[in-house]
Amino acid sequence: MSTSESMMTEKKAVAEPAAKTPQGEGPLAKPVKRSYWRMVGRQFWRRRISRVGLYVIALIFLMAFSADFLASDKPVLLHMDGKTWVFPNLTDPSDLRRYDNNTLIDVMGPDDWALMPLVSWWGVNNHDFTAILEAPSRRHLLGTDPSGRDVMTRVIHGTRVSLAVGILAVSIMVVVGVLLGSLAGFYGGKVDAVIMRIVEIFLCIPTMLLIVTVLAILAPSGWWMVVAMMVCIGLTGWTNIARLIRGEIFKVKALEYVQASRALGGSDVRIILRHVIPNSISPVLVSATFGIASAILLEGALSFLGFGIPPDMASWGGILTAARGNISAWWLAIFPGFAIFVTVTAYNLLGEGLRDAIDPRLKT
Amino acid sequence: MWQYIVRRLLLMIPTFFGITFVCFLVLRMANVDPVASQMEMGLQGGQVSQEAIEHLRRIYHLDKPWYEQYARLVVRLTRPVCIDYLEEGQFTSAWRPMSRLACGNQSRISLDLGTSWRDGRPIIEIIAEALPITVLLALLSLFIAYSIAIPLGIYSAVRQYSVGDQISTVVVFMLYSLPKFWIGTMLLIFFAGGHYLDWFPLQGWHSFEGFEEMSLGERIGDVAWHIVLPLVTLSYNAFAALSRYMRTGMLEVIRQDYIRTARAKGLSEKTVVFKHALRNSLIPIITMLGLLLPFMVSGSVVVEFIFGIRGMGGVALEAIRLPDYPLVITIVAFVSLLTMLGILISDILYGVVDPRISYGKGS
Repeated sequence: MSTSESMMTEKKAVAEPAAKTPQGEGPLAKPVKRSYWRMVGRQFWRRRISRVGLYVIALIFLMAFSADFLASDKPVLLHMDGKTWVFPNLTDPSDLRRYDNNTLIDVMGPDDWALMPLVSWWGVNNHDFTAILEAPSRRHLLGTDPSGRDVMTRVIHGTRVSLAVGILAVSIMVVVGVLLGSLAGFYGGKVDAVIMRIVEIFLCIPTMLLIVTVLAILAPSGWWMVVAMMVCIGLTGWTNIARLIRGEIFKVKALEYVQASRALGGSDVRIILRHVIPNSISPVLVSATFGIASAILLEGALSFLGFGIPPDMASWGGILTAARGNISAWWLAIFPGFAIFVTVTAYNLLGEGLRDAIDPRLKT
Repeated sequence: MWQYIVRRLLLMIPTFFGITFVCFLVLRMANVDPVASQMEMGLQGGQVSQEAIEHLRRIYHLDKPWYEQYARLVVRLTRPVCIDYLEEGQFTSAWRPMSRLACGNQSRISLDLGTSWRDGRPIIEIIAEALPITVLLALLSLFIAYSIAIPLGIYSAVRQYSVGDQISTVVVFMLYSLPKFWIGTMLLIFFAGGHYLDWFPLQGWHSFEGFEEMSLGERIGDVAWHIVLPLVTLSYNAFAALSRYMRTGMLEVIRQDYIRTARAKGLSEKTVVFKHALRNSLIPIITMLGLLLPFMVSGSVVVEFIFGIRGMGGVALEAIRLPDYPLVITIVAFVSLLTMLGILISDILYGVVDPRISYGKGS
């Protein structure tokens, strides 16, 4: 925080060339917009803590995409009995289905070779019945859960669910929020009154209980549960974004260029899409980033309560649930919880950085 | 002011219908036949004639069109009735609609809210048992959160950019990102249950054995011992948010002209901070009280699940697992209506503490 004072002077220095661009490049909308985002980007990049947030998120994404290479019950490359398999961890060939990494090692001859997954030799639903509820060891780096599944593997694969739910739920939030918020802000009057009533309804309803009830009723299986969760979180969490964009539109609506567009015969839809939303979207971006953090938290909580991701899929909240029933197994709580904490902190840092870059006045 | 309150109360009517309608939609989505689920639970034995099923459907109004079912839900949530008590703690399922104000000696006036599918208990009774626990937890943790956040926020703002301010900013930021269900589980593992430190009990909000025989003082001590961990889990999040708001609010106030004037008059720093600045900087976080309510309820679901407390969240989760959807939906509706009132009260409070806010026609 001690850098803030020097940052303020830096901001002024950055703001000046940006202010010159409209005169320099003419009154075209595009170059001005691009330079605005470039300025935001530069401002964002200047703070080390925002960069750290971005790096951590990039790492987590990398982990999600390469989860099958980091932890799997099949090798990445395998040469056995004169035959070579490429990526058996992804394709899961039927010839190899009865083996996992450990049994493969036993049947492999002296000429056979394999490239193993980098971190863990265990699959998501690979039960090691010789090590049930085992503390972290060389065999299981982060221990095992009550049914002998490797916690390391499940933490790595759980990244996917968390990121998917976080990002897609927030996409739904943004779409619904921007749509309803801009309708309310642009038309005002009765439309506004009705939409604000809906916002108030969702402010009052305890969303956690509502989502748990809906998920319990629908009870979809597999990835459909992830979809149902995203939709539920998205449809209950849009109120903040709607209120934000409504307020912004109230401000923007009265400005000259919107009236000019109207005078030129621009339709309502065109004015909203071309002029109003682009000029009020930056606070939404900030709110969405914080929204991802809270959606990931909510996903974790739902899975923890046992109404979220089904147990055969790996999710951080799901691993944590097992800890509540086996309170001597600290490793079941620490690692998945820490993963959630790091992810949420990274998104919150990103949000802070964006907010300060977009509007230094909002700084807290 | 009164005009504003009346208008807000009127606006609550559509919101009320909206909330109940959302609840009704969820209930319809469940489309669970209480008759079938009661038979599954063995209440009907499984050998029921078609007429009996039809009869039960009529009792639950499952043969009516949706709008009539919705109307019945609204009526159920708002109608006062008499509950007859046979003896202490025993109620009859025979309910009389309250025609006169007096219900007689043996009965109590109360809201209808319907009955639970599981055992036919009046839902209002279940809520009356669970609500005080949740409210107690929420109020206590809010009290803790406020009483740490206010001094910390003042310190951070007055000593802006000092080492203490920087440390507290980082700590608060981290607290903000810590999942409640993680901290709750970790506290349970490391401070309860005897595997590591056996300081606190594992489950419940009072001892199961011998609680009845305890004196009042012992009971308070017992409950206090049980709710330490739940309170810690429930309060740190609100504390983190509040102290950030307090710091911002204080920073804003302390840059104002009247503070400079107060300093120029030669008042001591203590007087300036605690008499002049504090009052105005408290306004934003007082008004947060109403907005924090829904968060406390959401948090209580997780906390009550972890620590096995039968508050609103615990009862609701249990009802979802049964499943007893009317009970869940009634709890959701009930909590929503309480929250609606809470938000109204905090908005009114805002006007009371801050004379700059006017609730005239323009607002």
